Amino acid sequence: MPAEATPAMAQVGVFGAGDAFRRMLEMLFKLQGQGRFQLAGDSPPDMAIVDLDGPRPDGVWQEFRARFPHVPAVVLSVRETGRDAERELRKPIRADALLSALESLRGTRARQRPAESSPTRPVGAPPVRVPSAPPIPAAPGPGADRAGIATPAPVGALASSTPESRPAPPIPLPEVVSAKEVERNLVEYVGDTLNQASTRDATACLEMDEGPDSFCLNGTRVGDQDLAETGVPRIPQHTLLDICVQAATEARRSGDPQFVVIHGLVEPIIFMPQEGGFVVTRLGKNRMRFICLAPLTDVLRVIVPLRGLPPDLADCPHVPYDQFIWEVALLTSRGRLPEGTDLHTPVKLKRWPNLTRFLESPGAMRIAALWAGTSYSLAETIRALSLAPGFVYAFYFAADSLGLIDRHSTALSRRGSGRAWAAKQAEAPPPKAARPGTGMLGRLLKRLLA
Amino acid sequence: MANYKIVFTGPVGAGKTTAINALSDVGTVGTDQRASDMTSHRKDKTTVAMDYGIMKIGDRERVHLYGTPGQERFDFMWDILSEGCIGLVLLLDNTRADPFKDLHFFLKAFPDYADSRRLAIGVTRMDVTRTPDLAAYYESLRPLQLVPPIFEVDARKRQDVATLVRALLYTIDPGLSE
Repeated sequence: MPAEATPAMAQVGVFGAGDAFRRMLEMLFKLQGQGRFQLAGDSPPDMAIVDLDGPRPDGVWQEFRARFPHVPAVVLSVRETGRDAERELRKPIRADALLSALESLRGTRARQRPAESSPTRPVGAPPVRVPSAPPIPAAPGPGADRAGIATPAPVGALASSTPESRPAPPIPLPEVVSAKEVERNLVEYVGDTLNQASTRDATACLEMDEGPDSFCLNGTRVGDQDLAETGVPRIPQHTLLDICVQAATEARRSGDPQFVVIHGLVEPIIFMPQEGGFVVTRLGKNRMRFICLAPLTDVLRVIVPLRGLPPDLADCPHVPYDQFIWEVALLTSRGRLPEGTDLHTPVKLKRWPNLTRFLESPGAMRIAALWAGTSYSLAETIRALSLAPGFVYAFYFAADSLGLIDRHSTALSRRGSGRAWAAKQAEAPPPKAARPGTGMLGRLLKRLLA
Repeated sequence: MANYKIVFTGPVGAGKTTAINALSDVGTVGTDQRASDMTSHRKDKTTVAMDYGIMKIGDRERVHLYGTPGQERFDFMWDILSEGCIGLVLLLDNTRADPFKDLHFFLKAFPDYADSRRLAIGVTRMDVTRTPDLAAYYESLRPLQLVPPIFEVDARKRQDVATLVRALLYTIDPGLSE
């Protein structure tokens, strides 16, 4: 029987991205590309993906264009770039959006092939920007992906046409990136970020069992650190937390039985929307705490129509969304704050974090009690409770990640905001100062902790 | 000998007796009797007067833990038990038909504690049903402008109950230092 005619496989060149991202693409093309795309080897590519935030960002676009002036390209970046590319995808990137963008280049390429030397689109035409996380439509049936491109059911996934009675085949969750590679990159990053004395020290940290204080690494006490905002360590953009929050939102929005799987790490992280939302992963805490520190560029979220977890993940703990996000946020902050956080804006707590189930970071309960009663700025909280700034920053960031922080209540606006408010507060006597638990309440506290 | 008091309250079956047992240094004194009313649908025995346990703090101080009977017809005990207490622990059963009604009922029954921020709330049996979630309890309290600690609690676990009581102490005084 003659083989069924298939469209030619497009050779996709990748520029500016790291090896991990290349492996990810390899997996993506294999699983969901329908044999339509392949990473280009030494031969000139038919189309290209150019990562402007990868490990080699400087001049990558210019270098690519100089070598391949007529090859259509998808540009990936965390921000708008204004590059003269056919498609521009904002990170975090969705697998379906990337495939859809490549598919559109395929059309461009087919049209342009007869006139190889002509530009792929009129000069000066604005690039088409594909939103990185568009609203999720209802679950598609087999044979169509979210972008409307005909595809077979995902490899190993239960197609929606599968009869209910048929047992669910396991999803093969591919090993996308080797643990060694992730660790090598992370060790390098952590070494730079935390001023570790050497790579060996950073590597040793991977095996280290840390106490809760380590979630707030810049645990300098009040008076030892200038509270000026320039001195506050900042959290980089596009960390695992951002990806997890987006995945949780998508999984909540999507209907059962769709999961959202984060690929590209040593182990996948699966967001399940059932019963308020659970997260399942085999990623251990040591790996997780390093992954949380780094800005990630090679991670994809994939919507997977699943009806059951793969057998090898079935015995993993199911962690509620909020608990998981809280911990990832603490691991991400480690005493750092997002860019633009004002230390002098008063904040208040909308509700307490569920501290019987959530990891209790140092000082968490005291900060929660203070902010549940009235509004305080971060700077004032540090002084009032005599806490290390990192403890307050970590709690603030984790609480804010769960939407527990109120910056806009009537009470806050009555008190004013920002620096004017802080200046006024500075003239007033400080709130009840922290003191050792020498009274009965303090002794009872120690007794409860014993 | 200095004596202090913490009161555990809440509807029938919320876990007050179990929580006091989890914290008490000595075998608790209970007044459980076989339930003869609607309570028997939820459990065989119920507290008719009070539960009582002790936490010893050194040789000179005692914290007395009192559990109120859950049924309204024993509410005359509530004022007696809560007099002079440092704070109130309200336990709510998430599997009951209307736990928000229970919440507001007990807040009305003990108004001083909510107003003066001497209140911590534990929601039990969330392992049986996760709805309503904790955010829904806070939403229910929004008109009252109250933001007490509300935690998921397994009354059988000392760690959970101790965490709830710690939150109560910090609510009374965030300046307390460990």
